[in-house]
Amino acid sequence: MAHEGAGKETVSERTGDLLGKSLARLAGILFGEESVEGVLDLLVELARETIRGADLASVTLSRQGTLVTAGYSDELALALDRAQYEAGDGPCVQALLEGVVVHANDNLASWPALAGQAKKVGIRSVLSTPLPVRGTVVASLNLYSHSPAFEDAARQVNTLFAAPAAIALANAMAYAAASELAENLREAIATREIIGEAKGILMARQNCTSDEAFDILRRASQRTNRKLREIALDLVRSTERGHRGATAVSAHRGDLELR
Amino acid sequence: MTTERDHAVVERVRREAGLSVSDLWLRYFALGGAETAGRIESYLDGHVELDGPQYDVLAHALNERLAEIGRAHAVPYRTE
Repeated sequence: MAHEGAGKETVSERTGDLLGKSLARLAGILFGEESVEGVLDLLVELARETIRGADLASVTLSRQGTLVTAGYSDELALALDRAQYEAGDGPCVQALLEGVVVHANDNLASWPALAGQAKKVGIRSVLSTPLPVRGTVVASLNLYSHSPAFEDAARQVNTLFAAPAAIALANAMAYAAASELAENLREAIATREIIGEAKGILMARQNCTSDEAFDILRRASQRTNRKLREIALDLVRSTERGHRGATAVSAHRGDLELR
Repeated sequence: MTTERDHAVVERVRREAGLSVSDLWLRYFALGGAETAGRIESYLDGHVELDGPQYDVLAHALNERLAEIGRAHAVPYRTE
């Protein structure tokens, strides 16, 4: 796009100002403060505000090898991403799989599958940038423009934006993974405790070792096609009921078919 | 045991069942398994042996996963 000489400085000052504000917002995200979804929404919003010509924006993630659009400015961006996943090719696919910035201009002549879809909605150029997390590209930032190409200055801003964007995304993903692991461990410990109690009950009742007690539970689990945890929980609960004065213990012996 | 060594059976079934090594270890740990995640990984690679009781806990962790995805128990136990 042509600009007057006098206007250009203003534009570049304004660009620098916008970039500064965007980077400050990305840098200001506290660890654990934003979910992955929250960060993706912010990246899409900031990319459109900051990078000149970015009319639509989206982020593609690779989830166990499948490409999905995890954040987008509107449905058109989603449709344009999907056209590329279906074709197995396109700027966002290439950026993600090959780890290179792809600038598709000239009405997307090199990308026939995408060009058809893009033409219908007046999109003429695409800028897709890999977002690496610890050396692995896990996402791409995709910008779609009504202009025939992204200007050099906009591409430079895009590069400056992508580095902190990748870090913000990496932090959110690391926090989500750590939270999930902690939750899974809490569940595993709770199960382990129930099974430990059940083994203790059997050891006392059957005068057997811990390993033999596990075998009894395991065989009952196999025979009844129920999870070992459920068998253990039943045993613990019925024993507790027994200690409260009920006579469930002898009934339960039959269930488990103890030796 | 068959000609396929037991660690190789467990490792093959783990992959078929779509469980990561850490997911399998977490299930094994929940069932009362005593070995560390690192030891289990070494066992799957064929570098260390598991004793019978620990092997049976691991086998059951995997068999419960198979039941979840509607497949028959495929990993034999040492204590049958």
